[in-house]
Amino acid sequence: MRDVSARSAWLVINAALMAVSLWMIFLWVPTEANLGVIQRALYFHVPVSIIALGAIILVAIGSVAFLVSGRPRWDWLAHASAETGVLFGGLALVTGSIWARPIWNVWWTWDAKLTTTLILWFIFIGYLMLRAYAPPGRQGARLSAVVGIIGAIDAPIIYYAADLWRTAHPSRVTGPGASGSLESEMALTLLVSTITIVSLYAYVLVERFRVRRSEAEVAELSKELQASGIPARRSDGGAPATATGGD
Amino acid sequence: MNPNTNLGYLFAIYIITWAGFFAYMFLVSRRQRDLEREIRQLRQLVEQKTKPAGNP
Repeated sequence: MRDVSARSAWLVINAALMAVSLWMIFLWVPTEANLGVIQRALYFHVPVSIIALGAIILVAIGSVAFLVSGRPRWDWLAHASAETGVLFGGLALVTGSIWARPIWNVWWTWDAKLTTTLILWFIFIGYLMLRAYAPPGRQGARLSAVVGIIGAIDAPIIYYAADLWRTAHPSRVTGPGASGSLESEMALTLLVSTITIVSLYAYVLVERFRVRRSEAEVAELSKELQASGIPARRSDGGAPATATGGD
Repeated sequence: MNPNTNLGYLFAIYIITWAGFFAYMFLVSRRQRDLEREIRQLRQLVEQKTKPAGNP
């Protein structure tokens, strides 16, 4: 019950943050002189891109912790982060592509930053495919952990892509080593927007983690029933649940 | 440049970002609800099985 009310409070905070950031993006922050109104895409595109990078780092942290400790919770965290990474990585690519169309006159170009971000998205997809098709249990979790750790190598490459190669993508305007800059009102709007989207991401990550934990609980209960001679039927009428709770 | 040029692109970015986010949140919430129902049913089955025979 306490858990439900804490989550409800978090949702209310998220809704308030969303309202504030939307007001700032569409009504408060001034329009950029050269790019016009499309520059406001920055306040969506940058936060979702930051989260896509953060998600693969979280996958790697969860994977390392799982390989070291063997505790399933770390594996669940890595799995949940990979799935949310697909969403936010996909949003980064799509919003970037829509922004590129009026500015560069193309939907897509094989620019270093764009290409490495696309590779990150495929890493997330590959990780989830491995989770789906690898043998159930610890072996599959260990294989996926290795992919998650190797995949995180892409994060610093994306971050520094505009410095390492001559790219059409603008330089970073925020974060360590950023060479670009923003006016104070724009910087504040970007900060509020980033806090909002990070909070929403954290909420979804926790929800996805709970799903993974519940799946493990279903598998444990099914194993218990199977051990006592009753084939546990899934509530949706599907095949008996397999015991993979310990992965 | 007219400041409202490309407003359609901005609108598309805004709609896709929020639609994608809320669609995913809806799917995750629905999956969690289904799992919670399944856990309740499985727990009942386990309790029935572990209850000693003859007890009401």
